[in-house]
Amino acid sequence: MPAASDHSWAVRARRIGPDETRIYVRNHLFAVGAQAGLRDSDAHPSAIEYLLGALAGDLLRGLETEMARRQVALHAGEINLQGRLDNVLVHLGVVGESGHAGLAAVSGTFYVSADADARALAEIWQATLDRSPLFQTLSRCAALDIRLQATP
Amino acid sequence: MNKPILVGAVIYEPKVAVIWDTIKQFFAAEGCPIDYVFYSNYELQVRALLDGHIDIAWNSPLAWVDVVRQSGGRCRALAMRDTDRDRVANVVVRAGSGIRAPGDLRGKVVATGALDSPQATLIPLQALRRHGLVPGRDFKLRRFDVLVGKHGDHIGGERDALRCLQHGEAHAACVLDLNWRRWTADGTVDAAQFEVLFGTPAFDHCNFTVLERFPQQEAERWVKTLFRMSYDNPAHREMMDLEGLTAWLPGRTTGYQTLTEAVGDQRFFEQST
Repeated sequence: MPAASDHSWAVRARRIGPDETRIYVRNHLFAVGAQAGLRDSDAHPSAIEYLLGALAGDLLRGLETEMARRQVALHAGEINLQGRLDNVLVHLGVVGESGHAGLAAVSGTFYVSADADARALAEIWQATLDRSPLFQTLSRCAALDIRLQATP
Repeated sequence: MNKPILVGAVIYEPKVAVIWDTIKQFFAAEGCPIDYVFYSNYELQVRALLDGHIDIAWNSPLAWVDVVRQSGGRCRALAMRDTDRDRVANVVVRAGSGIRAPGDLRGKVVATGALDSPQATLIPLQALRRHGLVPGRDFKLRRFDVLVGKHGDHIGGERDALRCLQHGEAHAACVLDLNWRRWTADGTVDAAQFEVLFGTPAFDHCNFTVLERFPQQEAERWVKTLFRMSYDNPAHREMMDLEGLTAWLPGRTTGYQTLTEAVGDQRFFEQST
């Protein structure tokens, strides 16, 4: 029997055209556009947006799981995130720029409506962060500042 | 496949890359492929042009003057935006301040943009010099050196100079006519409270620069393609709006006299090397 740490996830990516990479994962597929989209609109989300979206999805799903463990009803949840590269001009290849093209910071707010008081919510939120694969990965290389805000 | 013509551009804001993507696509569709190289400052771009790393440089007026200086005049201006021609820098004062003529700025504080901004520093200071006013001797200079190296493309220094005037920390501020128009229209500045004391002589702004050795035939092919870009075509208009033009015009070099005189009198290149 393989060790738990041996479990891995696999994706396959294929070039469709200059503005589209198609990603195949288990029984799903989705399209990625630019690495870091700068236009107001594009045919597909960019890689950096998928990353932010994945983090938001991870946290929402994680919070719901933690609440279910504690038998707390979750009425609504929504996250707004903003991500910033260390220097987007390095990503664009600008000669003479310094820094790096990596993610520097993610900030945002998690709005949650649930049958829980502030203390319970804080405990649930901490457990969510501790068990979030993406939060635990990204927090080791970028400054993450995601605030939980209870709403009626 | 034709070897693409390499065009250099200085960018300070990532959205500018979108403009260049559109230009590149346009040239490819017209059968005259180009590629772009981005630089963080004009000094690097001028060096790249002189060293032959790029064929064409989208140059600020100061970068043009620098290329003329370093190449011994062996360069040409291929094209420019309609809005690059006949620009004016305004020296703005508070309405009712009692400052009615340039000479009234003697002993006062004048706010300018960045050290290397032609429109918000070098040219207005030259205009003041023509009125007999030298910074440090006849008036106090408050300079806002935001993103030096980008030749004032980044309007932050210019805006800070205007704020300085608005906050009462300066008696005058130097602002490009287009920015003055924009800021009085969008409410950044209350046009009833401030007025233009005087405008500098008209000058030209950016141009596409090549060295003399760039083949004439290639230059003509490239310019002809550029001139096929039309504001009437919705596919081109978005990019042209972003870049702030309604038509591309032939490059002319008669509009850089005041700046050339300014960098000489102010010993700009001697101080920056």
